[in-house]
Amino acid sequence: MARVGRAWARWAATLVAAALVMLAFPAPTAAGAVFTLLPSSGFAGSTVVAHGEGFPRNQPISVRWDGSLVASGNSGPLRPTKFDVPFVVPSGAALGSHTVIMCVTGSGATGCSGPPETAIFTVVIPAVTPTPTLPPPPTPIPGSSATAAPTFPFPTFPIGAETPTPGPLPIAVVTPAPTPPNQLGEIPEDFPDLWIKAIEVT
Amino acid sequence: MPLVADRRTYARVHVGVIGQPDQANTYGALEARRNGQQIGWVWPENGPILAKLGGGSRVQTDDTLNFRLPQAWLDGEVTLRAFVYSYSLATVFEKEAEWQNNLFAVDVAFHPAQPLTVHLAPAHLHRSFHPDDVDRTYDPDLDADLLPPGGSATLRIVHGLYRYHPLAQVNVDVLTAPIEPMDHDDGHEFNLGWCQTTMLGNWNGGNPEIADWEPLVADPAALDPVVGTWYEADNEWLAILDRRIHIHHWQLTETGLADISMDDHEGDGPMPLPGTPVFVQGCRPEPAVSQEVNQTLALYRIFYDWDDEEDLFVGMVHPDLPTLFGGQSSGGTDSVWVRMTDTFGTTSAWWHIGAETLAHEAGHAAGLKHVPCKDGDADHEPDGVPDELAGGAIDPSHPNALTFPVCNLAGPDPEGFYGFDVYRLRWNLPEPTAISNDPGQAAPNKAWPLMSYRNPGWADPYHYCRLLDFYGVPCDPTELGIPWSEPDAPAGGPLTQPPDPDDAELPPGAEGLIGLRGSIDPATETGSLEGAFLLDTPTPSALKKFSGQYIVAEVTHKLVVLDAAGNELASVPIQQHDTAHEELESIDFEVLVPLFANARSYQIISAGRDLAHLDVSPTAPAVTWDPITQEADTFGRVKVQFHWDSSDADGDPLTHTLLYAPDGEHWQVLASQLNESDFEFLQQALPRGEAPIFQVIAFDGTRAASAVSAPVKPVPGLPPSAIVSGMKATTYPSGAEVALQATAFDPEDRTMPGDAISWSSSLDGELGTGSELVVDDLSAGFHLLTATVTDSDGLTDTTSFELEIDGSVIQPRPDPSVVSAIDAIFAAAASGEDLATAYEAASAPSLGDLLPWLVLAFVLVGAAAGGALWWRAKRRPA
Repeated sequence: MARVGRAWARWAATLVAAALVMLAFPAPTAAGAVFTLLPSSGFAGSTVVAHGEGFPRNQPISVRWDGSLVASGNSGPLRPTKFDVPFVVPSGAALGSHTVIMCVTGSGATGCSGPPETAIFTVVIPAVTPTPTLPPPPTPIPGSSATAAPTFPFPTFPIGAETPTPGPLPIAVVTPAPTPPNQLGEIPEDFPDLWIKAIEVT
Repeated sequence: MPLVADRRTYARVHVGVIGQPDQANTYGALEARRNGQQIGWVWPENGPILAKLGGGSRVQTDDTLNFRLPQAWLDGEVTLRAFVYSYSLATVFEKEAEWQNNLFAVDVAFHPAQPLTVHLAPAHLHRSFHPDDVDRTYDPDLDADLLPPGGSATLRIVHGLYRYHPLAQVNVDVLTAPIEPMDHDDGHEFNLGWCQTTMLGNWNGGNPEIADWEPLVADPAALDPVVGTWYEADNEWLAILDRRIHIHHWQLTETGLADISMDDHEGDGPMPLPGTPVFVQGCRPEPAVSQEVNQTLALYRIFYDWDDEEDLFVGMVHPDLPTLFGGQSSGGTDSVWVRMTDTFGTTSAWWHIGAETLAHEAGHAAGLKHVPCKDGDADHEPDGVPDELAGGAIDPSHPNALTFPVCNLAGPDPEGFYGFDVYRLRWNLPEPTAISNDPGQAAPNKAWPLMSYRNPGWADPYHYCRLLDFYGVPCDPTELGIPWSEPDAPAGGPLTQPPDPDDAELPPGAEGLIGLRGSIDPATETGSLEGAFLLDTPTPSALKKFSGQYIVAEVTHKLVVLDAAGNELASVPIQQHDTAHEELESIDFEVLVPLFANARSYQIISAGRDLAHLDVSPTAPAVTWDPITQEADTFGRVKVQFHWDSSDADGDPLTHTLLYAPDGEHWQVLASQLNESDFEFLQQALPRGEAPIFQVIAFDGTRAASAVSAPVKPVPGLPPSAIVSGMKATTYPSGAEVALQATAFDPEDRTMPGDAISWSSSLDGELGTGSELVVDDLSAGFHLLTATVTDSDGLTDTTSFELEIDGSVIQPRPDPSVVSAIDAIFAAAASGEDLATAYEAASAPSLGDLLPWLVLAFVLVGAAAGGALWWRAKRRPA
């Protein structure tokens, strides 16, 4: 249990540190747009949620890591807008602070149609954080004694970031061009009689 | 089946072959005429196809030529005429035994249906439904449209209404804040869960000890468990926090706990401590309180008085919660809640679980009852009783009511023309699916009635016809040949003649309506009764519901209004609350009762006995407005701050409802069940109002007082919202037809016309307007296409998406001579002329066509003549 306690101390410290960093780097603008990173620190390869509020509605949104596009999304039709764009911290990202921007996608040099919102993400060394997972279940043999697992306080746990449900995958297929209805191949000798059986309007 | 105007519609042309098993390279065209005038003709979306003997299989979408009807065709009466050929047009007249049967015409009529506005409200919920557990309120996350990447889960679910209901327009309106249960300030929470017990022992690595064994078995009275003996559980799953435990066996411990042995588990998150709530799937809570979400929504609905559209209020429930049902509807309230499950079923790629669930619950809200179809129960063993009965009443008029357990979408029909997923692009499905009425079909073409518990579901003809009626399109199942059963007596739902709105009026002397709710337990002859709301100016929908209450089959209970002398002022029959998914042992009801100034009590009477009563408070509350302020905060957002003074001389607790009328006439609820006397709201969430007014209603349970504010400063209003509603692909060949489709809704203008939507391209500039715009001349390259919708205030909304025109692939175009020949064929067919002659005339070469040949012939003849002269001159003797 002592090991668990130390693990939890580290976990709590990580949470507090993350909270402090998040508090330190909200990015409100004159227009009221807010861009935050959840979390705002982590290791390369980890998944981060870029959270935006107050952006113009129904706009394509870009998230750029040190200038490189890492994710895109849409600000949605709600007013005020509120949306999440998950992205993965580049695997080769160096330790330390990195600039992440969120903006309405545009064709300018920055890829933005207006001034971007900025947040700072700190890449850290992967920490061994105790993820409270279920240990392998005991073989469910009736009558056997089960191994006791550590328990945690209820209900003081924060809910973790929920994994966004992925949408349908994009279809990037050139629509097959139908054969033009001019001359559809070589006309056969034996020719049947076509007839229209019905028109189903549905 | 009647067709709905402006609803996406396809014509599938079934082509048969005589004299061969099949015929390749079969193609065709479809023409439309209105009042004899051609409004256009189109090529099919698929093809050329392999035409087959007998017309092929209806479920094979490429056994037919499929034409998507352009939007301009989708209203009024239209004649559709198809013409088919194979290899070339000439073969019809030169090779086929008969050309007349290559033509076919049908007359169709499109009828306008009322739009449906879906008012979405996240339901404030906690995991474990416990106030101290973490928040599990659903985030609507409404992205701009349905297009990948991403897209909106909420819209994928809401758009199930297009697939299953006869609708052309579904508007989405989001309530401004999550809805909460009554008495939330006192710690009360919505509880939508299965029956509940508690983990008391240790977690034991997923083999917990729980307080009660009774929820684990179907009939606890039939079991007297022995300590230390392992038993099988009838109910299979436990839900504890975010974990799901599949029960293998359980045993009773010496301390009286149920020791669970699991054989599988899902989920993770924190491990529970003793005291954690445990929900047992399959075990129903008693009493069920899951209707509270709908009861709260009903308070929003009852004051909402836009009268030109159908309204559905939807409580959105987080999909991870262990809810008793996937959704629930409460009859007569236009209110449902739905677990927002954004996943596709495993058997058929087109089956979206959340979309079907919402459409099922919306079917209940429209008055449809269950179709008896499934007989599996928890133990998967048939018992001859429809599973659907456990969730609510069965529709005895439905064709399947007499055939259960045999269950089909429709009776076998040799024509079999039924079901085509015309809205597939809303779910980004690459291919359409034909749903069959053939009970022998397999997935993905097999489906069961939407209002049954079998999946996947599809709207069966009988209930689709009833839904048409509901949305304002007359439909008579008898005329359609649907074998439904006439009711013996009116019994609600589709069996009931809808109340005539002209007759919906208050009885003489009544000054409004009061909403009362309660329950009756016939076994113990007890009941409960409480006031829910009061309407001194009933909305049209409230009056409609009031008049409909009197259509009840068998009245054994009634609610009477009495004056001080005990005289009956009014009587309202009480029927079983039309609650789909509710057990039938106790009768929960919610009725609208006429409001009389001299009423002194309300009583539930059953067989002459007073089961419960509610005395009218002697004194009405009082309420007055303090000044309403509109001030900007540091973010530039204007906050509207409300304060009112309310009191009740009797000391009754007061609840308050805050309403807003942007036009000074139509009310909508901003907040309900407020215990406090102040409230704050962001003005940017309010619809436009030039001189908007607010109303606060203070209610003490039987009496109410209201105060209407003076007009406040104009509210600038909300922009419209545009939703791009489907694209076939993200990359097209150069010259391909691209159909741009979008819908728009404005909180003030409501449903917006197509010309309010304009389209532009980052490469080609303005493209045109319309809710559907077909373009075939986009330049090669990457386009950022933008749909811009402009409302009557000039406020705009845009939504953009990328599309590539691949310049390396060229879309072939038909030869102009083919186009003109088909023009001639359709013109001749419409005027009754001989097609062969018309074709020959259209195909005969013109003078212009012959000119090069004439010149060549002239040159050749001239050359020959010159040569002959030269030859003769050469041979002539000198």
